Amino acid sequence: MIFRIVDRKKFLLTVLPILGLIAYVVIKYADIDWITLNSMRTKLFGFALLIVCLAIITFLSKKFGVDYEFQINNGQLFITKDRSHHITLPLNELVMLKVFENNKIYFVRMFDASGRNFFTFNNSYTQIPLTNVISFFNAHINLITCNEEYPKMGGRKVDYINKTYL
Amino acid sequence: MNVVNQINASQKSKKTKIILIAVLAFVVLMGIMILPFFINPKAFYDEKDGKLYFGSKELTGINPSEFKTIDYNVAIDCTRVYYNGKPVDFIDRKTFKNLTREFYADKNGLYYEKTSLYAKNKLVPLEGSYDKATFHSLGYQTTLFADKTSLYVIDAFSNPPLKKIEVSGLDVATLQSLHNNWLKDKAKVYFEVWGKIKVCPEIDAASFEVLSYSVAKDKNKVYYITRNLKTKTKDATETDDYAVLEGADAPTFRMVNEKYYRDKNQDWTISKKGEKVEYNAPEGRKANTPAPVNEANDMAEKARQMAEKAAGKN
Repeated sequence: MIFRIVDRKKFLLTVLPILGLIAYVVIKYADIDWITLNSMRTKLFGFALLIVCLAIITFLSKKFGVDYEFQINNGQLFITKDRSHHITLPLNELVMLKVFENNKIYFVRMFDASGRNFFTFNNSYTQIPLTNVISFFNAHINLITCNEEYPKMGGRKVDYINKTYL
Repeated sequence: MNVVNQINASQKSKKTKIILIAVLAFVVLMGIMILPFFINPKAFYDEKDGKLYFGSKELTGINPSEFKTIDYNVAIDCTRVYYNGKPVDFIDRKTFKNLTREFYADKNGLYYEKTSLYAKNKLVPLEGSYDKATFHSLGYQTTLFADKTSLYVIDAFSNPPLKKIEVSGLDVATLQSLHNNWLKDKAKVYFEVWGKIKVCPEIDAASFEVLSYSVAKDKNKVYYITRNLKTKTKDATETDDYAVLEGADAPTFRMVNEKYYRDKNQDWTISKKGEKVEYNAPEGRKANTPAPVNEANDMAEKARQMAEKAAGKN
């Protein structure tokens, strides 16, 4: 099971300085009067700049995706990042998957026996149904659905808890 | 507490973290908005240590004592006009004058500050079929201009900014701006609001005079600006308009000061809602009660009448 997830650190360290540099050059050297002439226009310019930045970030984020692969062998959960070792966890120490699902997009946070959120992933760039993810773990440990709720803003929150820890 | 409860409890405490992230995002947003001011601050004309500067750029070859700023971007000395610190060679300095904000004139015509989304602002000649030699302002209190044949209004937000105003029967040669909204030519009085002019046929031009910002009169009637002013018979308006002040005796109506007026019959208090009004009626004139124009004065008047009644009973 392979998920493509944005490497935020690499992504932000690459894209934000470039966007900042572009904004600096435009403001400083294009020297367009209305940007600095009127505070309201400047605020609008700021908003526009932010929206453009967010649009570029969203557009480019897939390019900065990293493949994380989940494997279970001999009671161990192995997560590799671009095929190199990332996390190893005894499967019986996997306590809970906290899932938020909305319009077929889901976010999963995984917790270990010390209560630590050791890995988070989503299916924004990977077309794997949530049922497949649950089945993947359920084949090795018994997950029980708990604390199901429907937030006011929409979507569904549900905890899949390792039966051992209930 | 088992580990599941521990995880759920820690997730609830993350709300504080989310609030902190939201505050941080807000601060970043504000930072982005004001960033241009720090990267490229607005340049102004300034004099330091006997030297002239526009922003951080020093202006050389200019005597600071002869230098005078007209607007944020426009300045003059004895020989030249400057825009953004650079001399403008196509403007005649001797006949250069500032018509209104962002609009200028010399013997060759009009100029205005043209703004652009994609380029720097420029001072450019204003195209149009106006007569350059006779083009003039009708006064500092109006945005109207005239040449020998036509009346114009300058609107910085329209394109082109100079608009011709057509009013049938208006005699431009004798037209004069009296005060704020009032215009007069040899035959008629006109009421102007932001370049829109209406003829006032009921007003006698020969005897018309403006008493104050709010009040004017002719030989027959007294008129007041109805914006934010109401009477017992007429509501206030949100935009500038005028109405007849009913009951006022025009021939004897005169201004005491901006708020107080008097005619042969009574004293008048004319002020906008919320303005503090204090007035002592002259002795022997109490029978002719003042006729307040606005709501606040209505209440003051009622209070005064009640006090008089109470005094009469005693």
